Amino acid sequence: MVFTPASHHRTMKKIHLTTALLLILCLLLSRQAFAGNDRTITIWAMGAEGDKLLAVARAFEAENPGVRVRVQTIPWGEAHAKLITAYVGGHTPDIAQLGTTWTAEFNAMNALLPLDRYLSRERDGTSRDNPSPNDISSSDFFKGAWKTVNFNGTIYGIPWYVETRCLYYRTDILQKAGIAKAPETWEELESTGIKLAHPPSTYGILLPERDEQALLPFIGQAGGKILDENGEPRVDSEPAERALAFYVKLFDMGIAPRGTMKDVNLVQTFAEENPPFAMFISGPWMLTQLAEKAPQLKGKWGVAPLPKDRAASSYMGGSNLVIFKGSKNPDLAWSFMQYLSSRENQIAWFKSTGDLPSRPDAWSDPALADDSFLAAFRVQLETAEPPPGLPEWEQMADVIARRMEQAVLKQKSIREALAEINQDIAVMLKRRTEPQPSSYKFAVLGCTALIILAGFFLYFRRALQEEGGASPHTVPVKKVAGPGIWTTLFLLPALSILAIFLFLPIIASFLMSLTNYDLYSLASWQEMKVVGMANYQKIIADPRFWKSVYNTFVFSIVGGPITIIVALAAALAVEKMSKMRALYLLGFFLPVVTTLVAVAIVWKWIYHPRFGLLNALLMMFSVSPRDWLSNPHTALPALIAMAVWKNFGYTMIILLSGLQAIPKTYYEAADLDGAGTLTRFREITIPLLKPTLFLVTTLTTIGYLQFFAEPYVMTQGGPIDSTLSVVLYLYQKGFKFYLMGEAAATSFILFFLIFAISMVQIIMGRKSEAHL
Amino acid sequence: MPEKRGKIPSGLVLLYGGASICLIITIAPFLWMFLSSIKPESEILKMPPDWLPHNVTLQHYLDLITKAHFMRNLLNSVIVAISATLATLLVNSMAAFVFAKYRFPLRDRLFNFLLATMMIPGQVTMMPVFILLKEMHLLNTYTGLILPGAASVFAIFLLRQYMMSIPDSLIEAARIDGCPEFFIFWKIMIPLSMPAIATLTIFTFMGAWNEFLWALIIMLDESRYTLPVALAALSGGEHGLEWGLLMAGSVVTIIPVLAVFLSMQKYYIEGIAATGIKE
Repeated sequence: MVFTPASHHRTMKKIHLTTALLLILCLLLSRQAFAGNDRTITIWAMGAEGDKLLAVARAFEAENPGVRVRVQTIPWGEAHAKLITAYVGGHTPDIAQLGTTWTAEFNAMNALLPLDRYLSRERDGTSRDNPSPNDISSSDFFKGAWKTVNFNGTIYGIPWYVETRCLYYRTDILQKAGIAKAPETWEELESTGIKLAHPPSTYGILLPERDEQALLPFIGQAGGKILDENGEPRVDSEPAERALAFYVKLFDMGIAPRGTMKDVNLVQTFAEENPPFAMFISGPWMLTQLAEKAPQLKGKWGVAPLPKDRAASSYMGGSNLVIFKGSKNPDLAWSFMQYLSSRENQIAWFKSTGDLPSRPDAWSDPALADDSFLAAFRVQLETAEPPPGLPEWEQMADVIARRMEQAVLKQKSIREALAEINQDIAVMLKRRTEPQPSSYKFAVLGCTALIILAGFFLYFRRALQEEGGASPHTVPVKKVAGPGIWTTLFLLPALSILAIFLFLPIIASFLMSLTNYDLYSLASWQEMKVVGMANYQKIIADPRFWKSVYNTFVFSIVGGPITIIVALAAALAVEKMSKMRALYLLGFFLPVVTTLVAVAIVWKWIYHPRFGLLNALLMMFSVSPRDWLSNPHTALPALIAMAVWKNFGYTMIILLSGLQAIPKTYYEAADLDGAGTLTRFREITIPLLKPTLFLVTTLTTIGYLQFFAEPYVMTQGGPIDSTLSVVLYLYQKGFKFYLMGEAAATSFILFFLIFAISMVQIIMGRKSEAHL
Repeated sequence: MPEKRGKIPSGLVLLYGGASICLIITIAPFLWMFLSSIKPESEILKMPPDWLPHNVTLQHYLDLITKAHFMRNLLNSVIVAISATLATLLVNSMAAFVFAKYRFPLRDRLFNFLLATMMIPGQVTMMPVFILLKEMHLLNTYTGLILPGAASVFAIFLLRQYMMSIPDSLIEAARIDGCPEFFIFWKIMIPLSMPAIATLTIFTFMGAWNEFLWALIIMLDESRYTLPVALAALSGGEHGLEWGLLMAGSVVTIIPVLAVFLSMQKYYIEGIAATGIKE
């Protein structure tokens, strides 16, 4: 407290009073100020969850006057990239929803706030000053879910909702085969399968050939693990071998179909009178899908926990809530997380979204307990295991899926496949443990940068010497300020922007391609290592890359010419029109001006298997409906059709300006000579349009070789990579796996491919230009 | 191509007939978008679908306006698209003028070098540019969204190609009259390049208005989102999509670009007519 030595009591009293009043005023003001500024938190949630969360946030605000919760919705597809860039940019929200497998990545980047201080008080049993029913401890949650927030004993999040995989089966078909209940053990699965299977028309169970999420539960059931307690890979152990051997055996015995069933629509096929398979494994979302899309099947199907072997196990997924380190209000953020995790709010959340509660005690609510289908999931959640919580998991998953497919297809023996998975995982884990002196890194990267710059310097210098003899100006120079200064002034803005935002980033990107720049490097530069050409070798050896190259070439070789031909026809038609020309021009150009996001939404609807316009149209001609975007044979053509529709107007405009530049006198002369339409087209239009045609061919090819937005918005590269383009591959490397080094390497390989093609076109173009 | 001679009416019938079928295919999705946006939710998911709404409703549009940031998102898009267009036109037309009409050391080398960079996919530079913008404190700002794309090799290329067709004699005459160089650029080259500039305006405005990935990454707050990002956020959930609302949002997103195109189109055609006289 303020204390001033003074002689006069009265003055002192006065001073004290004033001070006290001032202090009170200050406190009041500051309190109000605090209420205005510091009682606000931001939470990012994905897709539908974000929308539904708004109502919960309002309820929380009502219970806590003065608190503001800002809910920001991020589309699922972009959420991962958005969260990472937000972290790199230092703009993280207070709380975010993270997919369970993402939590490890953000933890690896050192982005998350440890939550132990909020939890520990309950753990050691000491009573709190103000105990509240919202207190949280690890015992409140499913064990498997808690593992996704626990990293080396430190807690970095709270499980928000969970999902796991169960066995879906047709009760009527099992009964017909004399089986009363769903298989509970591996032996029963095998015997049931044998009774049901009559290959090649009927099988027992549908199992994916290439999906690590399908194999993991089997490994868990056999008592195995991907990584042991010390983080060492254990995929070559006996339980994993037992699991993969059993998995492959199901295919060998004809219980599970190989190949042929890959492209089916799961729900539709399962709902057939005599489906080719009576069982499959999937998550809780199938409950709604089956109820909505196959209402006729009601009462003929059931859900059971996965068959056991030595233990019960399944895959555990879902979403966690985390607090970012940058949060200015972690206490308030925590209380909101507590609020979301309370039993009653978990139940309310289930009712509003269908997301399964992460707390076992929420499951006693009638809404969940009375649902017989959910009972299987309730049982399964007790034993479900999440995949290893490592930032490298996405890459590991990719390796497991690939090798598992090779084992199922008998390209590799069980032992071989597992040994290779183990080997690959060991390499992935080792990569980050070996340090590299920073002087070495800077020397290598610095030298490379210098060589590139020196290369540019020499290139332009030599060109300068070659040009030396030529006269410097086309037109006579004015006395005072000649083009010399003006050249610089006019070029300066464009060239400096290009230098800063294009040339330098390209060089930076090339340097990045020589390193293993990844998530850890984003967190700290020290983690980055120079790897030389290893990224390039890896990409060139990756069959997925070549698949993407193939798709991209198909896209430009088929899509490019179609676009140009349609555009040329449209341009010629519009050019000839005397009436309603503007209407047609506008109509053809309409798709070009439209936002791709809007276009994608409409076209998804057009291609929709049940409510789609295309299927409606085909049904008028009694063609059976298709699931256009889910079938690997139709997905790429469907995207090409959309791209032609979207882009031909752009090409048309350029061609139109070229057509209008052709002097009318030529046509008039041709008319006098009695030339036909076709002759005029061949003899006048095409030759005079050549430069423009060359321009649009180059632009269209380059544009289509960079084809990205269409598959990104519509299919994400699927099904089975049938629409994976090179740029999408690159984007996934960079912004899904965060292997920025490999992504940069891919971009340079792509650059060389495009460069080679463009060189051919430019040379051809030069010839025609010279001809004119 | 109609195969009959253009003079006889049957050729015209073929021309308009073919073009009309093409037109129907092109605009059907838009018609569907618009009609669905004024249908009540109950009429939207039907098989076979009804094209015309039985009950017209503006509810989806009202819902959109009352969405927290939608009007703000609209304003953001307008600001970004207009400033990006102006910046692009100014910066690139100056550079294009130099490349078209001045001869200076390394001109062709430099120009070919610029063209070569067009082959590099935008994703290559995304991360370095993002880190750069962060260091410049330009994240979450309009400048950060506009500046990296303000100079465009494509724009320079397009304008240069057009400016090369403008006769040198005009510039020479102006110089003899004592015109300063900037005046030549501003009063002669720009007006004469109007068709190309109109084309570029449409393309740039469109590109800036529709920009998605970059806008999503740069703009970190929902109140700073542009329309396409806001629309994608609306359509985020695979399950239970509000088609009516999405369609209304799509309609609102495309109308401004359409308006610009419509107004520029008139100008554009006039410009082409003017150059036709000149030739």
